[in-house]
Amino acid sequence: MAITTRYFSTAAAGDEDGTSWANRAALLDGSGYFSSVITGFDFTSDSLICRIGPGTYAVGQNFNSALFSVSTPTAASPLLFHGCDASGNLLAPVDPDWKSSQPAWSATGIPLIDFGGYYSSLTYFVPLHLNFTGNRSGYMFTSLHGAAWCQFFLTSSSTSAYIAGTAATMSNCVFSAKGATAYACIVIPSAEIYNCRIVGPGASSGTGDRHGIIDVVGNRQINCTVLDVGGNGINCTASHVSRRFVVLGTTIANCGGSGINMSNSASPVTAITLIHNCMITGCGAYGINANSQISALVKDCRLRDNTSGNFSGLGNFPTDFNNYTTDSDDATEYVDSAAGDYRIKNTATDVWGKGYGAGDEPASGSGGAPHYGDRSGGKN
Amino acid sequence: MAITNTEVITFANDTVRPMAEKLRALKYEIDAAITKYNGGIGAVCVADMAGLVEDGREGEGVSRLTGNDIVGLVAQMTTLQAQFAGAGVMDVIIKPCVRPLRVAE
Repeated sequence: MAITTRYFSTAAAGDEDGTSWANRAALLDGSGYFSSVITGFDFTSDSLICRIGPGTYAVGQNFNSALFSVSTPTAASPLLFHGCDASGNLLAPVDPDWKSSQPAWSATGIPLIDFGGYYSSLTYFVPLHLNFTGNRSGYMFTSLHGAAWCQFFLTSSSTSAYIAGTAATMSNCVFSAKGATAYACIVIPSAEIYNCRIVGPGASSGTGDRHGIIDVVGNRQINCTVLDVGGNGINCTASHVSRRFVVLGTTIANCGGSGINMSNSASPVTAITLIHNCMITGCGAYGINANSQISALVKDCRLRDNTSGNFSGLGNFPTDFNNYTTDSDDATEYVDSAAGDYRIKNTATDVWGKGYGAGDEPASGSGGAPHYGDRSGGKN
Repeated sequence: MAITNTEVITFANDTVRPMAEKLRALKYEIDAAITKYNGGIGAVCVADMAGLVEDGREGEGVSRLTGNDIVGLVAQMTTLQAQFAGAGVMDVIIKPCVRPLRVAE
């Protein structure tokens, strides 16, 4: 068992075998095909860390297991892409204190991999500190084993365009379909998601099924922010009765459908759903629609200005466990929603410091501690 | 007499209020589209069935438009614009709305 590190840039240098930055390989050849340093690697017992240098990489083929001539990545020996600087040093978070309710962290200088109309279906592939763009009519990624500090931009207007399919764990990422003209959405069916920002093309865009997150398993969404998607902010379709669907400290605003929508599975759900400390505003249907699911506990949430109402379908579960629904507006409660800053304004005394949503504005004066509701138990 | 029928209440919240917001948004979208059309598009787009719009989208499976198609839709938008401009119409539409009108709309 070993970890092998190889270095890549837009152009090769030195021995071109990737064994050092001085001898880096080209990540892609002239046709946009992935380097044989990667596709010829033996993952049987070793993992491969690829340090990707600054620049833009235009992919010219689908990234899938068929490209690998020896063996493919495994759970124990995955393929990791990690952005690096112009000397081959690993990139660090641009803003370690970034909260998903803030505008996206600066992507300036972060290596960009442009999939164009191609896509990745490679399993056990984990990108870190990288930017991705794509305009495919379909998934940009059908499988992501994990991701951290990446930004994903989808520009396709296709009705079947999605950023990510099956995924495992993701943290501190930005998923944006803002450049898309209509339908694109983000689908993350089986992910644990922490402090990620998901931005759709607009609440009036799409056909209503363009959700921010589709949770088909029943997982945890923690400290995330979901904005401007055409459908539901988070749509839980997990149908097994023991699903453990959890949404904590998440901000959901201006979605075309409900902020959080849960399917009513055929059999009564036996595991309890937790929706705590969320900020859900300005959605076109309900703030939270449990669709008569019997086990959803909504507590300590802020909800307002949701077109059909704040709660629906919670059955015999209460809606008054410290949930705050008094009228207000975005200008009063958010720092600058027009600019994408959905932290809670420190002058909004009714809601600031109460643990609602993905993060508060820091206290004014004195540089006081921000009231961030970090419920992750520590950063991923 | 107060309406307590749950079906009516559900209809009001699930259907009436969202529909009102969509109609309000449509009104402003139509106004913006007609303004854009009258700002120069109309001068170069005539009602000509032979004037094909070369947007190259046949490969996507979408219909090929003509100048006649565009002018025809603008005419329909103009009819709807007049309907929205009728006395009291927007008052009826705006009252059920919950969310403020957003710039993006």
